[in-house]
Amino acid sequence: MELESLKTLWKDVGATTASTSAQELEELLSKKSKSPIAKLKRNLFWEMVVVVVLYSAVILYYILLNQPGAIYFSLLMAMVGGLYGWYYVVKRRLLINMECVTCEVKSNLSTQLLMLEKLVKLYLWAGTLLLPVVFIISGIIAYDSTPLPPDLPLSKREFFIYFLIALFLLSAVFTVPVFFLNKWYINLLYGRHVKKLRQIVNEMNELPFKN
Amino acid sequence: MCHIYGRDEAGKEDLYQEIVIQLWKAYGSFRGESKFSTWMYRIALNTAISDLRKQNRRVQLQFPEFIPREEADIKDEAKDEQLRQLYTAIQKLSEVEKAIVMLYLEDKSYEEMEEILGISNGNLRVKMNRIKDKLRTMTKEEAYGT
Repeated sequence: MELESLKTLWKDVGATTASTSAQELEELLSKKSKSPIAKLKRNLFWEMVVVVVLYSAVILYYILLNQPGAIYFSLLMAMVGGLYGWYYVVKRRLLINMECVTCEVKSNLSTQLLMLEKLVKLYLWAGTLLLPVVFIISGIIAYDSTPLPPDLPLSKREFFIYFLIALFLLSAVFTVPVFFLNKWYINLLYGRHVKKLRQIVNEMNELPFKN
Repeated sequence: MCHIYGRDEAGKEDLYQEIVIQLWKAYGSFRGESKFSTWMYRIALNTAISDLRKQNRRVQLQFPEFIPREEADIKDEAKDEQLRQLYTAIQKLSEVEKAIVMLYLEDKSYEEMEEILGISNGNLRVKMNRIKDKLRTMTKEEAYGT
């Protein structure tokens, strides 16, 4: 089979393909994009809506309770919400930069790979660091809102230092398995995609006379 | 392009729809710096190659589901057989090779291919020669049933 001779045949295929009517085009354009990036953008938007609605409701509820512990809890929620806001902004920026359909295929795919690797790192660190942050802040809030026993063999300051050390050690112990669990899960979600993309980019960057 | 990158009828339709949407969304950004066809092929190929999750399933596809309806209608049996061999062989190529061979069949010059893909002219020629050898070997293997 000689490719040159197949060019004519290929053109015949194109010539026999029915064209799309204006109405069909209109119908096609009214549908949502099914590209992975468009889906990620849509999911991120709805995730943000859910977080804003839920967190606002919970924060408002605890503020209205007007109790010292509750105020701390609403502050904790506001901090976690703030962290989510940072995550949202970074992820959205990455998703926007990930797609350049009008660019040369090689540069678009290279950018996509770079952005996807950054996104995977963001998922890994945001997912892992959330646990110790929430754990330590919750511990401090719990410490502050619980009265200490009067027969404490240590001074309040010493007890707080030991408490903090224990809190940090415990959070470190919990964070290590969470890091590996996160890594495994992210690899399950994006590992194959990243690998395939890297393979394509490497193939495009391959030098012609390397063999 | 949808025939090459789409895994089945539904896959081809999805890809076609996606390409149309991307073309429509990007239309405003066309500044005439390149040929319209170059710009269009960039968008179509970026859309087809980027959708890797679907491609993982596409790889397993074989003739006859792959042959488009329009080609099936071609009366000439020899031509039909040649096309069948071509599609079967193209299916075994990598995503990049598929793009190069498709642009070659579309009669694009190496300069235009370079503008679309971002691969240097020299590199493209070497790759094209390798692809031709690969396709020749694959079709021979198929013909002799090896």
